[in-house]
Amino acid sequence: MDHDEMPELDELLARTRVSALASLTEHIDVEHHLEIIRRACTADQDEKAAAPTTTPP
Amino acid sequence: MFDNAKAITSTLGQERDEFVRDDFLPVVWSLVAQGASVEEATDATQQAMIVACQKWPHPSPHAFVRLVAKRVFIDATRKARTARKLHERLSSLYDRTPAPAADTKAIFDAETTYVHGLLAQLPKRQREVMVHTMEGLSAEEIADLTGQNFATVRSNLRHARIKLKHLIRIRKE
Repeated sequence: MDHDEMPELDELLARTRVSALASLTEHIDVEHHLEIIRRACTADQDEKAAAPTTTPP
Repeated sequence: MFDNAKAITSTLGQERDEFVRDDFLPVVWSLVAQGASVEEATDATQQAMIVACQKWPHPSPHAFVRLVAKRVFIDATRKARTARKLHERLSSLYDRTPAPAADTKAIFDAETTYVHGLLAQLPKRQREVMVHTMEGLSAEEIADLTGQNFATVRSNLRHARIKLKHLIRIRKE
């Protein structure tokens, strides 16, 4: 690969990702989404626990 | 015994929470850099995280959640395209303009928007490989994640870099 040919490109791409993540941090409340994900997982576990077993005793 | 099971569940819960905290925004950005709006990317990431967490503990949650998020996004895009076509047809009937696309320019700075614009000019496979490379994934991991073989990943990455350099040079001139 020709990584040495244009170090500015790599710097620009690295800077972009850091900057984009910083911007997203300001706009997206990850803790809010984590709470939704937790609830969905708990509901799924409860559903699985309540489901009747099909295997013979 | 019960306390032990409770402790394991609690540890798994903590691992899962850490995973969501660490990976949520990177997965959102990965989709945005591949053409999604922030809203679409956030929804797809949330759905993918739910699937990953329902399968927790997962052997490779980072790759799995990116794969599922991409599928959710593609699926949602197809549905939205169908809805948009219907909307356009109805709009022409009623002489209304279609709804505007989500404005990512309001969220990202000028340089980030510029790079997203450059990435958008790459062919789909090259863009996908480039974005995952920017995320720090190796060519082997990208091959696993995208279903391309290793040589194709390397080739796509090389072509993507050449094209990006070319686009940047054009802008400078």
